Amino acid sequence: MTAPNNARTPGDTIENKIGVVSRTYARMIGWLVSVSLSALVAAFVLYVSGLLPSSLPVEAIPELWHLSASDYAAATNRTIGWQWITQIADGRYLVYLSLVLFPAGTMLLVAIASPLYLRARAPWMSLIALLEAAVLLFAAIAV
Amino acid sequence: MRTSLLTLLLIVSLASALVAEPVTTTPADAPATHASGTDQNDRDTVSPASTATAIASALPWWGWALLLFGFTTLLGVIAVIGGVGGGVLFVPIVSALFPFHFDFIRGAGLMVALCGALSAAPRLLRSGMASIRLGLPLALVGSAASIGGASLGLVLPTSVVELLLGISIVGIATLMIAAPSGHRAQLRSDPIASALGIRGNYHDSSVGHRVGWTVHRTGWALVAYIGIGIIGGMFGLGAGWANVPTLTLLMGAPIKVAVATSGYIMTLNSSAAAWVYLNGGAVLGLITVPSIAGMMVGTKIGARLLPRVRPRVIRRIVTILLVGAGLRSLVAGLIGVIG
Repeated sequence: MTAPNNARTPGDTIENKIGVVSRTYARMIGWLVSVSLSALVAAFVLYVSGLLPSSLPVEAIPELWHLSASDYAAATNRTIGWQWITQIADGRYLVYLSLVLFPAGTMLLVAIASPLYLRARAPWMSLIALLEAAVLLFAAIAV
Repeated sequence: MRTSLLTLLLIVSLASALVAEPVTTTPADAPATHASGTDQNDRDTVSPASTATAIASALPWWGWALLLFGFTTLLGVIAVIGGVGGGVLFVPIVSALFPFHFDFIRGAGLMVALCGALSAAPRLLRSGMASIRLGLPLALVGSAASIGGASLGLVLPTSVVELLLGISIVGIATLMIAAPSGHRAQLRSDPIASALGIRGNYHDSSVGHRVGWTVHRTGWALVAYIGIGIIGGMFGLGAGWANVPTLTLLMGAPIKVAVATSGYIMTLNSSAAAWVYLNGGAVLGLITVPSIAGMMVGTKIGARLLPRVRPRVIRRIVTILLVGAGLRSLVAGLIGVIG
């Protein structure tokens, strides 16, 4: 199969800049994964080893994980929404914080990509990246 | 390498629990009535509490965690090669094999889909096969819709959600079986694709030369992503299950570009829906963390294998997995609705 006629455009410089944005974005995602995964493993180890005090011992969870999310929350006094942020010294919520890093980091990276696309003279991509960041922010704080 | 080390640390921490003295503490503030498995919204009818407790007692917590880790490692390899995302395999299969409530499985499924996609994304973006220009506009529509889907999924009865999940997955698998494979006709960009500069080229090692590509029907694809987002969020699947068929069959993208870009779209769609599950208390660390660790390892392996696999093989693997997973969910949902 050969390349379509419009696969290489006169704006090859812009294409190269877009490629740079993609590689930068890829590198940032790599950092996000490393940091978030490290935090996740550290928080999980602290929780399951009992090194960090927890309002819900890990051994009790198998007796409860057949409950729906709402019943489980009621049975374990689990905090719904963002109130958990005040309790991150509690092992179970520290694990939660480390899980939140993944979508939060994704939101941050797409927001960062917006000005990068603008600098690469791709204004539509910049706008779409900004809108995507706004959608993710809405999901994080308003739903 | 870092992922492997972190995973090793996780395994060691789980293994250390083997020698720890077992504690049978239950939360002091857990009312006995809540463990009965009854639910005011009729959302907990899949397994009676006594059965679930008996199954859960069959293994200590770390046994379940290790089982999940091994299982999701295998799923990770298959998910990347098949381009379906971890969620579409994780949710129906884990709900069949493990005693967790469907809410937590869907929450974990979304986190698994998100983390698996993030893990594979750097390699796929650097290879030039994943296209942000192709994925970002679709992800914008899909992630907005997935917020609505996720919110709906947490209030519908479990059996109904599972039945709809089975119907959706079997439908997609049927579409892939009926569709022509591999070879693409030359395409001309539609106006939206041209305006957004959605095109590219990549080196396909399986055919030995660079392949140029562009897409068409971008407007229709954007409309399709409204439905994909709702379904992905509702069932905790992310968007991986539908990305490849939409990108190839509707838009005409090469399957390798579709598979790679699918991973990028999943990072955004799954993020949006994951917030709903996180904020709704439907993500349980003990289920989610071993699943993520396994998926991370599996997707790394899968991403290394992807450039060397022929499109026909990818397509066959995806189809078989979707049919199996879809039928299981369909039967389980029907039993729940009728029973």
